[in-house]
Amino acid sequence: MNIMALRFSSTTSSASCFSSALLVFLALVLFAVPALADVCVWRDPERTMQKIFPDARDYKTITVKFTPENIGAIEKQLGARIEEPSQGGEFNFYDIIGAVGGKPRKVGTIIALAGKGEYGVIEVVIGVDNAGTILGAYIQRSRERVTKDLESPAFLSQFKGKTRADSFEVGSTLNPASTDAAEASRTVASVIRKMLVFYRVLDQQGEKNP
Amino acid sequence: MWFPPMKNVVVACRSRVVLTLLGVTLCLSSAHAQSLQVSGGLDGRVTTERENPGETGPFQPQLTGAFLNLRKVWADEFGDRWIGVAQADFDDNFSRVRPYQLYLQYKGPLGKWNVRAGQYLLPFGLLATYDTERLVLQGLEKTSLGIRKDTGAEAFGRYGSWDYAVSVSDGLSDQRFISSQANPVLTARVAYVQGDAQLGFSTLVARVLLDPTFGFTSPNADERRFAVDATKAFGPLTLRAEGVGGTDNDRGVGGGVLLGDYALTPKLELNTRYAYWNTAYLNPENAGHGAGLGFTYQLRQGLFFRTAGTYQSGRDEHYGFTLQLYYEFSKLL
Repeated sequence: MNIMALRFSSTTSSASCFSSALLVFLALVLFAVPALADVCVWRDPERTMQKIFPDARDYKTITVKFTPENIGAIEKQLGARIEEPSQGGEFNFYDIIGAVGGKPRKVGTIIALAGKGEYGVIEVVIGVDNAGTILGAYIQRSRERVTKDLESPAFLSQFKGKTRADSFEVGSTLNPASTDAAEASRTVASVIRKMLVFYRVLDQQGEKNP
Repeated sequence: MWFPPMKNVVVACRSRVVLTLLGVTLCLSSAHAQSLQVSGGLDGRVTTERENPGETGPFQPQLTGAFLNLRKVWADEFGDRWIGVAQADFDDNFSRVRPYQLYLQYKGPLGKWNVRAGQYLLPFGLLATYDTERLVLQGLEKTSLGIRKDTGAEAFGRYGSWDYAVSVSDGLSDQRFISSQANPVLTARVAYVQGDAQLGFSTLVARVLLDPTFGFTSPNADERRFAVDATKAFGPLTLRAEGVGGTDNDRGVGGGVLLGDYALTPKLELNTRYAYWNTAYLNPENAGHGAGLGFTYQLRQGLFFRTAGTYQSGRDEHYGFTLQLYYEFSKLL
């Protein structure tokens, strides 16, 4: 048996079939709705959940659609526009469920979001209690040269205890992860503040759509 | 030589695939569940292949693939509990329709254990965590296993820093409604996970019905495989490696693949691949090397342009060049 004999030739297709396929392709590329740039795919969520909420029993995914109204509310609170706000999309966060007397009770929320770094997105995860106070922050994925600095407890622990009302100014209320990581530190701080605002605005909608 | 009657099978089962997907969509849209997540993608390519680097072969444009994925989560009072996934792929200018993944999963508390049944990617080597189906530079499994996904049942989860997965499947992959000599495929993988790094160990024991669309000239093989895979990020560089060894009908086989991606800017990435596979140890005539170098550029959110040059040595020695336009989207219904 020769299992090396891989077929490399493409499947032959008629010109008309290809034209139809190409038209469909172009139509979908032009009209399909991409996910909002701020939304992040969260890798390996459960391990991070347990780090921030050691007593968590389980989690519930809450998905909320972006609308012109909630985007407007987010931008008003942020004082800045969010990317591609007119193109729709949705946002996920995760209610962490504990057990009190055998009954399920929400003990906090995990939120994940990505910001633009010098070498691609920096994915950040935070856990907040029911009052919206940060309990922990993690870098989920970063391709920056300064990733180790960003992941250091000395940098990330500065976010613990902060709420959306606090300042997230790197250089004044927050120290950068290192002298080389000033820009990346600003990205992380901005993403974390964004997450608190997203959560504040979208959580009320999420509760209606469990 | 024997080939499973793929063309007839596909024509006959296309309507069944569509009907199944419609049925699944209706089920996924039922009450007491969260919204239906619909995602999809389009993979258009222009490829040319020739025997010598100086030659110019014919350019073959085609819509290599399109896919539609439906995902729905049902929760109980403590959290997400059931997950349904249905994905259909329409390949080669829509001439081939196949279910890609179609399964129902029960998730234990915090995902420490899960059970799923249906069609899913086999938990073997890099394939367990990194699906290269829609990339130009791909993993080794089409050569090293001859099967990527299969229908069966899988238990998987995590214990401390370890991930585990055990699967029993039917060995038929996409080839349905035919009699075969395939036997159950047993696949297992454990991996040590630390942040964005992981080291995995996999095994597969099977009499696999080889997928003829991967180019195999024999219908099946008694396969024994063991693999070690590793993934690690070093800042802008992400390295993935897999070494595989074992036997095909008691004859030794082995090889490996190394994939490297380097982010040059937020939108531009350099992609590299080197692969080696040998169907008989100590016999260089049965060895083949594959190398690839390419770029990925993100044109806009969800839209990627990829290009790659490839070289394959061995009996089917050739050079290849591919341009790809890839689009993916996601929408909540």
